[in-house]
Amino acid sequence: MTKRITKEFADLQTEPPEDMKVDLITENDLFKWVVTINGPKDTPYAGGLFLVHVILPNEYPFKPPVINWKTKIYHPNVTNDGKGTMCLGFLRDGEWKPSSRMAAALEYVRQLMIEPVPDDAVDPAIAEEYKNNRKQFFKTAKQWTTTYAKP
Amino acid sequence: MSGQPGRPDAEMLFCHQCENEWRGNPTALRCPHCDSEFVEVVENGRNPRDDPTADETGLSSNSLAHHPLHNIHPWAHGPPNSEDGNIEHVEWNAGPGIRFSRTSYRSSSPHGGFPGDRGNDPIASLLQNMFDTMQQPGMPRAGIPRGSNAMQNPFSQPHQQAPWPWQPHAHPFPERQNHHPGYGGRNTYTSTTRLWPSPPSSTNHGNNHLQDLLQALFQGMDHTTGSNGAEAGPHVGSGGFPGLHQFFASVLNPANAAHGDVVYSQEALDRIISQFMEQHNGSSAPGPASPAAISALPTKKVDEELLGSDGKAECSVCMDNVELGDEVTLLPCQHWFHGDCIGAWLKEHDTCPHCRQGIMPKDPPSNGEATSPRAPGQEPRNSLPPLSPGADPGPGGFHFRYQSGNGHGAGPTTTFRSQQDLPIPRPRTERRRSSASRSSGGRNGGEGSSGGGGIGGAIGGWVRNHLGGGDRSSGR
Repeated sequence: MTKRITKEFADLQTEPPEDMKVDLITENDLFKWVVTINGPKDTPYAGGLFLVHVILPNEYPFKPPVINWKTKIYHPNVTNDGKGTMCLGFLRDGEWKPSSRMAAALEYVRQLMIEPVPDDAVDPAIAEEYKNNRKQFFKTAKQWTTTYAKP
Repeated sequence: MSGQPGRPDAEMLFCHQCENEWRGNPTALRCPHCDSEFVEVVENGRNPRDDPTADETGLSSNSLAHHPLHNIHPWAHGPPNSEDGNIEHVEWNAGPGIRFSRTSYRSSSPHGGFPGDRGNDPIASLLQNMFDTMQQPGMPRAGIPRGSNAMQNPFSQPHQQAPWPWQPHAHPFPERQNHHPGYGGRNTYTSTTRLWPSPPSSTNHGNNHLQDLLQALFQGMDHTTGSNGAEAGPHVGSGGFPGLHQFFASVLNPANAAHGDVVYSQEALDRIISQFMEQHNGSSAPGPASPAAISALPTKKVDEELLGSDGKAECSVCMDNVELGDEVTLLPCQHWFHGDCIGAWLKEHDTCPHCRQGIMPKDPPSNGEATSPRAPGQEPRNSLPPLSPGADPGPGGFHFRYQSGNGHGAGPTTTFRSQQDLPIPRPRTERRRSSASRSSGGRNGGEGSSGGGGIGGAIGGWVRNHLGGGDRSSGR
């Protein structure tokens, strides 16, 4: 399915999702992407520059891409374990469909930055804070953005 | 270190009784060591024992007036080459009328003693006995290094405090091992004094006392630690005992809070759960369709109706355009794909990539698995009907599945799409799925563990929620 990946990658070059830029991590490996995300405005991530690695499995599109945040981000749906795994919604193996596209996946990632899904969190404490103490969540997330997501 | 000029009024003195050698006032011709008066003023360049190394020793002792320890490494000039030439000499003024002196000898035997003064010097004898004891392999070392310091403290300069039994900087063993592994207790002793120029900081005494006590304890428990005392010593002063410290560090460090099957933090628990989940390649997705049914799927030629209004269409699996006349495979839900593309998918998951309805009939024939796909009107085994049946959500659509069944399509399911639905609570899905897995068992029991990347993290979160954890405040 290299052809599809090539096509998707090319499409993302000409028409990248908002706030995003998609590159290959290494020039000759079509299956490993690095996505640079400008923190969407009106979010605590605004002003930050986030790097996300997107690894397309060999079985792609029959298996979902693997999204790893290389930049530390304070987010209920991103694991805070050094891997920065984000795996929810249709990015899950069980919910992925081969007709899903990377453009949609990336748009979904961006959407999650704008609106986390605390009820499907990998970090319940952050989710709890997001739900019950939004102000504090914003504060910490902003702090992390300043600290870790320097442009 | 012998480059400093000697005190002008000091002469090199030599006691022929105990072969003590020291630098001091020639008017007091009495050996401070054995109290003998058989003392010779040694003229410059002459060795009372006609030994060249002794001469060097004497010269180096010129610095004694400035620092009593400057000459304690006589072998810096080379290895001793005769029995009576191996002289070490330390002398100092401790105040008016008080003078300490130490002369010692090395013999060629590793445990060589004090041939000249053993019988006369109780301190030296004591030291010798002590260090001889320390040489014994397997001797517990607890307290002994400190004891040696206690013994060396008479060398302390007068203004310094009373002898401090646990002076932290003295670690005789490495010195001895590094420089003169073959020599006996004598070397240990002098090496110890060599470290003395680091005076104990009076402000640290309280801490050092306790720490060194404990460290001596640890050294007693661990021989290796003891013999690495020179390395460990300074660290002790700055606060810790390697073993205990490492233990607590590993316990308290969230990145490392797991030992085997034991975890010490929520993060570690999550990681283990994630790992566990990742090891199981199961999936909550429906299982495969039967190969026979896949190959029995009908095909059709691409026509204008299929291409639609814009006259273009593509297989949504490979994203290649299809042309008029191409052959595509039709699913019971009427969605079409390249035969190879949909076959590759269906042999993994019996769902339509668009509408998630499977091709297998819900009720298999009594003689086993269906060998042909269901008829379009027949209920699918795996069904996840979209909001508007048959509609293709399109590549940008988001599907959020609320599943009240156990994944077999037995219960009512609903699929939401569109981005507005993103924040809709989803843990219900997780919880239901998990509880369904437990209660229903069967195939889905194994599939409850969704494979892949961070799914385990999500389920870890679920476990956390249910175990009532979730307080990260300690982690930040």
